[in-house]
Order: sequence, then C-alpha cells, then structure tokens
Amino acid sequence: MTDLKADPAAEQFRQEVRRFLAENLPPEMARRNSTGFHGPRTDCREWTRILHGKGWSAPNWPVEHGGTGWTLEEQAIFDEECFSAGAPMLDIFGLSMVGPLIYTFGTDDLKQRILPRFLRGEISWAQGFSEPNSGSDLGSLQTRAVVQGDEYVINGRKIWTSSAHQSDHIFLLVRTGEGTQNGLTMLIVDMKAPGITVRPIVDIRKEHSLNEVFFDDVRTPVANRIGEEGKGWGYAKALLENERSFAAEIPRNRNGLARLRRIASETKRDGRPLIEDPLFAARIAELEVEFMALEFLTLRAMAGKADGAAFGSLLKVRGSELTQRTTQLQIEALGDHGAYLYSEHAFLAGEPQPAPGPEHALGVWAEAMYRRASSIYGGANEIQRTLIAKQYLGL
Amino acid sequence: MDFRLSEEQVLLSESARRLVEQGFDYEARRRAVASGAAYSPQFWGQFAELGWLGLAIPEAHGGFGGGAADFAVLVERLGAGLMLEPYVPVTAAIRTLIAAGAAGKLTAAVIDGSARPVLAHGEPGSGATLEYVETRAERSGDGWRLSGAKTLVLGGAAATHYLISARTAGEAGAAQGVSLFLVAADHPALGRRDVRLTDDSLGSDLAITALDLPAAALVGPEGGAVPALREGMAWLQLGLHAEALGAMDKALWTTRDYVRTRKQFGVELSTFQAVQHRLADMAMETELARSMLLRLISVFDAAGPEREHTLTAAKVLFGNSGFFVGAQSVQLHGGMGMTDEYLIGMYFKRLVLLRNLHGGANAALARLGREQSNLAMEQA
Repeated sequence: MTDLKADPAAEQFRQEVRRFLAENLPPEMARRNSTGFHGPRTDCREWTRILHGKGWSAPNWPVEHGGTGWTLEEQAIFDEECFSAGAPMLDIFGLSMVGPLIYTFGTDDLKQRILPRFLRGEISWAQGFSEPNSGSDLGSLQTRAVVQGDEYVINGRKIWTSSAHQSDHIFLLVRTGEGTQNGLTMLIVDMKAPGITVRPIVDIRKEHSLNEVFFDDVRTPVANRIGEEGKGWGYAKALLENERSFAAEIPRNRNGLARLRRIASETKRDGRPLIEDPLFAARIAELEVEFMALEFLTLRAMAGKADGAAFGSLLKVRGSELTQRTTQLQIEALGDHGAYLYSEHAFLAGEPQPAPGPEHALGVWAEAMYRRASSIYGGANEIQRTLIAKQYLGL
Repeated sequence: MDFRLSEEQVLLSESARRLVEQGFDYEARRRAVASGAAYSPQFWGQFAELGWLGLAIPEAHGGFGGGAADFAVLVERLGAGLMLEPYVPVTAAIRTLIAAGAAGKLTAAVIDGSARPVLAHGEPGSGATLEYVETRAERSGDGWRLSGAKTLVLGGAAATHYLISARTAGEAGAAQGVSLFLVAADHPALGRRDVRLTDDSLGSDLAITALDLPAAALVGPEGGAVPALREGMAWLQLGLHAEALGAMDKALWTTRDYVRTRKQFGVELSTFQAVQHRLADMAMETELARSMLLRLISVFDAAGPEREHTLTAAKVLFGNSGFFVGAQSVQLHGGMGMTDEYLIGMYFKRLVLLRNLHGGANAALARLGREQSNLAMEQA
C-alpha cells in the first residue's frame, strides 16, 4: 500500500464543482429533485443543457466524444456534489449505456446523428432489454427483428421500461437469430415510430414511471443498428461490466445516510430528538460502519486493485442492500408521518405538501419503495451472489 | 490512492507466508499447545532474525521504521496461521512505551527478542473506555504500592514484563491520573495466574495486592499516560484486526475447498446454490473487512478523532464480519466443524475471542451511536 492518502487536487476539484453548482443549479430545480421523488424529465433535460454549457454533460465519457475525460475519482466527486446539492439525475441510460455503446461500437454516421444532440439534452432514452419472460435470464428474450430492405421490422414486447412514455428513443436488445451468443442484436428505435404502443404500469408507489412497450411491425433503419448483427449479447455484457466500481452507489448512500441523520435529529419521540435514543442511534451507526467499508471497497475498485467482474457484483449487492436498509430506517424515523402517502404526481403537479407533516417527509417512503428495485434490476442480487460464487470463489 | 503493495511489502508478505506454511500448520500448533509452552522461542528467534520484532519501531528508536501498512501486511499472514506468539501485544506495549517517552533500553531488547513486554490494562470492571482504570498506585516510601486486578493480559504467559496501568489520581473514568508501571513478569508478589484461553493461546490474569514497586517502575509522565495508552491500544487493535482478516481469509478458502470435495446426495456440496450463496456472503464480509482495515491504515498515522472513530467502526465491522465468516465456516463443514481435531473450529474460536475483546463489538457500536447523537445535537 504505497499511498493511501487522498489526492489534494481532488479537494480543489470538489470546490470547483461546488462553486459551479451554487452558481448554476436553479434553486427550484434543486428543491424538486432532493425530495426522494423522481424529478420531471424536463428538469433532466434542462440540467443537461446547463451542464453542456460548461462541457460537463457527459461526466463519464472521454473527451473525443464530447465528455469530460474525468478520472473515476473526479466522476465520483462530481456525483457526490450533485447529489448533495439536489441536482436532477442525469439520463443514465444515455450516459452509461447507449452512449458508450455508440461511441465504442457504432458507425460514424450514428455517432454524428446521436451523440451531439444527446449531449445538449435534446434526446432522452429508454432501455428495452427486459421482457415478460426474460428478467435476469436475458438470453431467452423473444422480441424479434427481421431485415426487410434497408429496415428492421420488429415484433414483440418489452417490459419494466422506465420513462418510455417520456423518451425520444429506445435502444433494444432483439432476437435476429437463434441462441444467445450470436442471436441478439442492438437496435435504436424512434419512440414515435408507427406500431409502438406504450402501456403504463403503476408501480408500488402508485406512480407511473414503468411501462410495457409493444412493437407491432415497427420499422427502424438498418443504419440504426449498433455494431454488428448478432453481437448484441456481447455488447450487453460489456455494459454490465462497464464502470462496475460505481455499483455500490456511494454518492447515493452517503446522501441517504445524511438524510437519515437529519430526519432522526428533527423528529421528536416523547419530546426528545429521536437520535438521542441509543438503540436508534446505534442502528444508524451500523449503517455508517457498512458505508465506511463499502466506500473503501469502491476506492479499491476504482484504483483497479479490487479487479475482476466479481467486485462489481459484490459492490452492487452490498450497495443496494445498504440503500434499502437506509431508506427503510428513514421511514421508521418519520414515525407517524411515515404512514402518510405523499403523492409524487400531486407534488409534481404543483402541490407543495401533498399530506401534512414536515418537509423532510416528502418522498422518503416513495424512495424507499422504489429502491426495492435496486436489488432486482441489473441482475437480481441472487444472480450476483451466484456470480460471486463462480468468479470470486471459482465454484 | 495506490493500493499496490510496495516491493518491501511483497517480500515481507511472502516471507511470512512461507514461515506460516512451513511452521504454523495446525498440527504443529496443536503440539505446541499440548506442550504447555506459552510461545515458541524458536519462532521468536526467527522473528528477530527476519527483523520483524523491530518492524513497527521507529528508526529514531533503533527499529526499522515500518508503518501501519507494513505491520498489517505481516500480521495478516501470521493471523492466517493462528499464531500463538505474542507479536501484536509486544508491538503494542513497545509503542506505548515509546509514546510515553520511556522506552529506553527495552527497545533494543525487544528488537533482539530478549524482552517481551505486554500491556496489562483491562480490568474486571472496565470495558470499551480507555480511561476506565480502577487499579490504584499510591506512594509508599520512595516507591509505589499497587492494588487492583488485571484481566485477559494477551501474551501474558510469554511476557518478560507487564506494563500495568494504574491510577495515581482521579476517579476510574477520569482522563487524568492514569500512570504506567513496568514490572518484571516473574515478580513474586504479582499474583499472576496464566490462563488457557478459548483459542488455546495462553493469557494471564493478575490479582494485584499491595504490590510494592520502586520509584523507577513508574514510566512516562505521572498521571498522564492516557495518550500513550491510546497509541498502544491503537496498534494493538490494528494488529488484532489484521490477524482477524488473515483468519477470515483462511477460513473462507478452507471452507471453499471443503465444499468442493465433500459429497452428499452423490454431488459436491459446492453445487448447491444455498451453499454457494453462503460462501458468497462470506466472501463479501471478508472483502469489506479488508477494505475497513485499509481505511484504518489510511488514517492511522495521525492520532486524533478520525483515527479513533475509524478504530471504533473497525471494531464493529471486524466483530460482526469475523463472527459471521467463522460461524458459517463451521456450519458449512458440518460435523467436521464441531471437532477439536480439525482446524476450522479453531478459526471460529479465535474470531469469537477477538470480537469480544476490549468491550466487544456491541460496546463499540453503542459508542458510535453516542457519537451520532452528540454530532446531531451539536449541529442543532
């Protein structure tokens, strides 16, 4: 361990990001996006546009594709500062999935048509991988695309598609042949294409962000294929291994713990601040201990010292479990207000306080419910444990 | 940050691995325990030859000036072999003496292997609070008279000296008034009883009744020993966590190997997903523990609140993770895990013992909880 000291330049960078946020993040936008509710997609676009003015709208992309070229450490600092300032979440499907796929495997034509517009906040993305019969077992998917002339014709359906109703494009993993290794292809489809039907799915929060998307003879140009036909599975796997060192969501978890402490300090139990209750304080401390270890595991992964795909699984499992434990304890800290339904759609429609209670109660329950998905998506935690058994333990 | 081992650390780690593989196998440990010896003079001599006994001693004091990272790299390997030798307690005691400005000639004797001082600090009524010392030292003639009791002196049976904490002033929990006394381990009036511990190592228990000591037995500032003790206890905990990590890692891979060979229902245990997932959980706990140790090392050089906070957090994490990995290793070994003959049970016993040292993991958690409340109240 030749050097375990924090880099002093990192602190300088943090201050620069903090200054930028203080000067450029609109306060109303920050308020809307720091409640735990999902902010409106319009905020995401507007914030992307603001960041683009500074050249920061793709923190994780290399410079030659319009990104910042930041190190992993700088990206982590940027994420942390954005979280604590209440900045809208960026379009993660575009930034971490389809964008890197396009600049790594896509044609120049595709790069030129798509990437600049995305960087300016003009395109938002939906991801079309999961199907009714293909969850963690993605290789079994059945939505099919066949070439007719210079177009693919797509039939089938995708499910759990976040924000499909608010997206301009969807990137699809579809079947173009038999088997998994050579039978899947990655396509980009315009969400306005004829034959697409979006059916809302009301989720466990009583909110609409998930959808089922039906494809009925939907056409997309062959030029919208990412990479080669039949190589989609490899691309999808590359994505899953992409930036695995961020899988523990350290910025989100740090922010969640800070919020938990704030709620427990402001909530009264029998007239005293809840955080003075030794057992409750110890429950918070348990999460803090886990966080401290997880943060260093992330640093190890970022430094490439905790290498191998298994570490992505490890970070994902423990990070998602920590998020779930933290948000659950937040609800508990709210006491009676933890039982009130603070409606996200009412809040976004302009009702500042959809149910009685302190402002810090907004969105706590909604976030906790939504985060149940974090141990399901991207390969359920059970799958991740199997991967750890295989890749780390060699079983 | 650069987590790669330096060249020297690689060499250190490798030579420790070789020594453990050649000399520390479980059968050899059982024979050593059966012989009744508190430690192996042969191994201790090797430690001295290899320079390990001076590794964590600053160059200004004649040592080799290794840091927390070097110490942890070495001790992790020794922990994997369930070392019986009091390497960590002796290092902690000499670091206490150095911090107290009172190491003197003893340092050279520690480095050459002829002296093995250990801390005698814990008491029947103490726990996780460093300042809680009831044992008293009163002036008596030109010297001091000590009375009180010390429990679970790690390395006590192998020690040449005890570094005893005692109050020369103040009430049991007061920050001021704690002093240190250096006493030969074979002092006839010490009331020493060596005790077999649950991990088969030997510790000591001291019943101190009117123990008369000369004035020179007081080492360091009278009544001002807490900072030095804090330094020494930090080294002790760092070393014990590194030992625990070595033990966890060894238990994990030993269990992995076992489930790959043991067959039930006609197939290897490793083919059952329930077994795979349990091992995955053990692997995760081990990697988190390793990460926490690295975090501790990263703040170790600067004594202060951050180091104390990280030490407390590490106590919680190692306590819980160590117990989990140890207990699940026994579980996955089935009946074999229950035997005295096979090594896996000993790893569990060692990890349980470490968890409960110094007030235990729950006391550390309670302390962190109090810190949370205090911090929140200050900010309010």
